[in-house]
Amino acid sequence: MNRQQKIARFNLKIAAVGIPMSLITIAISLIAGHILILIGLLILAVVSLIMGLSPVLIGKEPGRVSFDERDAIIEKKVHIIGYCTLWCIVIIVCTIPTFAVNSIPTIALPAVLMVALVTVRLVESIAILIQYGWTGKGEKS
Amino acid sequence: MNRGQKIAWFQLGVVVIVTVASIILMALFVKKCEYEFLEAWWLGSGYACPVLTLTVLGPLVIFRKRKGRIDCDERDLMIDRRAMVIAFGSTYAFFIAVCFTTWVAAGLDSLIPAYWLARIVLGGWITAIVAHALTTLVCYGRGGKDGEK
Repeated sequence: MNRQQKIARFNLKIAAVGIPMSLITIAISLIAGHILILIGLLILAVVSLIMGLSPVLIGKEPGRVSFDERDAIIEKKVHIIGYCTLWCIVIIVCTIPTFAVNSIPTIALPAVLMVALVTVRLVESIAILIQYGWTGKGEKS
Repeated sequence: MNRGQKIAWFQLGVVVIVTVASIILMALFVKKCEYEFLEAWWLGSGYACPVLTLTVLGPLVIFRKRKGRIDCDERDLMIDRRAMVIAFGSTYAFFIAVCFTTWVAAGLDSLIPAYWLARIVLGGWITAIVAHALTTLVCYGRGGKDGEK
């Protein structure tokens, strides 16, 4: 398993733990009170931060070439998929409230950003694993 | 000058025209109609932004690929992909900056008009176009000489 796949699997694990936790907290807050919404968003912020920093957390092995042309092509393709996903999310999330309501709370802005970041990283991770074939064999550079 | 460069210059031109037009419209709305700044901004950018669709339609209609001619090689593809990745990064940075700045500037627990979201999308679109066009031009060396065809 190469570095890209390790990062992708790490992101999937973080998302699998963090997103349900955040959603459950936000769902409970709808019944209980305002403070829990902030806790739910805080969990989402931590998840998005960890997913965003995953290339730094899973660093390169020193003195070893772990990247070839195929990896570069896969990475570029993944970036394009992430780019399209980001635009889809932003357009959907920003256009619907414009026509549905008159005003929105300012806390919605960082929430939109965190949802976009987590979704983009999630889609990118799945795209990486699909392109490498989900397995840990034969993908080493 | 190849097709990629022509498109990049065209897109930059359209963005400049739209920016100038929206500033002029804003000034007119403030001076003649006595609108507030935010209302004038909303109307000015609203009237000017449909012109931005030219940045998408231009490459499809004005700079169409010529039949029977190959005008794209590996280098052009590499430049286009690099420009796309840089546009992605710039748009991401723009959204992060705008969302957090607005959140802090407007107040952590207050309300903002919903149409601001549409303007954030518009700003992200302009950022992506400008970043893509500038990267393309910088990668080709800005001019029309030295083997860009």
